[in-house]
Formats: sequence, C-alpha cells, structure tokens
Amino acid sequence: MTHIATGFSQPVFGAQSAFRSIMEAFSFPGRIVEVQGPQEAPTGWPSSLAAACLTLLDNDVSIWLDKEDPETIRYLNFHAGCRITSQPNEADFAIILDPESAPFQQFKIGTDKYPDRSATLLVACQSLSKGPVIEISGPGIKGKRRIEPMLEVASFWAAWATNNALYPLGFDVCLFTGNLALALPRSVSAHTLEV
Amino acid sequence: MSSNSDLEKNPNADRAEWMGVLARAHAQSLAKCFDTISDPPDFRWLRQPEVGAVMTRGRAGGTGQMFSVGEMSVTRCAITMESLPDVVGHAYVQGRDIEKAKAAAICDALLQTSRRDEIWAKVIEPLRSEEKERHLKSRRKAGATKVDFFTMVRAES
Repeated sequence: MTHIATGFSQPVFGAQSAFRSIMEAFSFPGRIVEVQGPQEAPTGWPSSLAAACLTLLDNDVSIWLDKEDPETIRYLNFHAGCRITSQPNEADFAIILDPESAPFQQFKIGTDKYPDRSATLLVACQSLSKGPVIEISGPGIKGKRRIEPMLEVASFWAAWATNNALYPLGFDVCLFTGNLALALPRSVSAHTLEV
Repeated sequence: MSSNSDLEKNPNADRAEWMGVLARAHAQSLAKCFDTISDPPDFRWLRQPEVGAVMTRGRAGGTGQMFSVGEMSVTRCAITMESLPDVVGHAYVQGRDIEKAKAAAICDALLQTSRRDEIWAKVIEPLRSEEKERHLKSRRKAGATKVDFFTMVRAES
C-alpha cells in the first residue's frame, strides 16, 4: 500500500487560495485559471484537482468516483471525510478521470424548486488547449469565447448540449489539468467550430 | 472508561483507551515516557499539528439533560511511518502542546504495529497509573473537606 498523499502544507491559506481560483473560474466560464495545488496528489491526478477536492469536499457531501481505487478512497476519507457512493444519481460531486465513459445522463440536475441540488463534476482533462475548438457563450462571457479542452465532441459535448438545454437545471463541470482549471457552469452553451 | 458498556461493544475500545490516556496525559510526562522508546520511527506528516477548540458536553450527575460544559483547546495531527505506510497515527490531545501531539500520534501509530506491547509498557501503563494517582490525589483533597451534617436527636417526647 502506498502513502496517503499529503494535503496543503498550510490548510487554511491553501484552501482559501484554491477557493478563490475556482470561484474565478466559475465566474468567467472558459477562462483558464491557475490553482495552487498541494505538493502531492493521488496517482494520476492533476494537482489542481487535488486542490479542488481538499477545498470543496467535506463530510456533508457524497462523491462518485469513476475509478474506485483504494488509494483515492483513503485519500478522500482522510482529508475530506466524505461519503463515497456507487450511484452517480446520489452524488453531490463526481470525480471523473476518464470523461469519455462517464454516465453524464445519470448525475443529479437539481429540481425546479431547488436547482442547486445538482452535481458538480470534477473532470481531469489531458489538456485545456489541444482539443477541438469550441465556441462558448453565456453569462460571464463577453460575446463569445473559444476554448480547446481535450474532450470528445461526440461524447462530452453532446452530453453538454443536453445539459445546457435543461437550464436552470443541470450539472456544473470543472476541468483540471496540471495546475490549471477551467469551469463550465450549466449556463454555458457550446458550439463546435469547423477548423 | 473501559467499563462503559458502549465502549465494550466497540471494536476500537482498545484504541479508544490508549487515545484517551495519551490525550489526557501531561505534556512533560508524555515527553519523558516517549524518550524511553528505543529508536522512534521515521515519520512524515499527513496533517501538520493544528490547534483548535472543541465543545465539551456533559450531563448533570451523568443522567440529566445534556448541556455544554465549555470549550477546551485541543491539538490534532496525523502521521504515517516511512516503513509502514498503511498505518496512520492520529492524535487529538488536550492543550496546545505541539510536541505532545506529535509524540501521541507516533505512539498511536506504533501501538497499531508489532511494537504494541513495548509501547504499552513504556508509555501507556506509566501514564495511566499517573492519571489514576492524579485522580486519587484530587479526590483525597476534596474528601478532606467533606462535612457530614447530622442532627442530634432531640429529647422530646
């Protein structure tokens, strides 16, 4: 068995700084923000994803993992104390390392009365600048913005169109790679650009 | 504490007991006992020591309504050992002494390993008897001031 990866060296300041970055990402959809991550992260995780988990998760939320390995479960139990659920439709947060095969239709989208009772998907992404060109628009974006995260048009962006159509319901997504993050709140509508 | 029936049902009763002894021990006594351990292990922090407050709760006479007694300061930390990465030592100890929390976490980790008996004899047992002594002393002190009220039988008929 391996060590549990350590958290922020200064838990309070680390989480405050990461929270500020993630809030900026959600306020300006499509903007690539830097997230100061902890020194270590579970195997295969971008450090910004670890920072988001240490900042956003606590013992009130339940998490769905697309790869339930013991190291990740130990890490989340130790640092966040959150519940792990095997049902995507029960999760408040989902940690997705392989966005190609995630069950996007099953996540919580909230209710008409409580649209906030929806899932937030934390997605690890190969790159935020080498994927297909997508044009996004919506609140927080002046005019239009082009983003190029490494996500499949047929799987992820097709699911995103369905999600955006549900507005004000729907899930929110935050993409992570290295020490960078890019958020896609449900209000963002996206179009593929022919290149 | 171990006579509590809830704890006896608890599979972690053993650990709860040593965690309690470590938490209540005086910092200097723990340091003294800790120094007697031969080759303390290499460890790394999983959670750096942090000082906080917890609300203690109690029931009057042990049976009344639950009420908050007051806040007390608590220091917590967690470590893991280089040689045994799957063992995690936790400490939640009284007071603000960071060294005490560190020693308690290392003891907790070692108590979960094959060195349990050694640590039990060198740290937990002495601390436990010291705690008993301390309680006895304060009880004696209180006992010395005990007043028995009695009424003389009045010779009336």
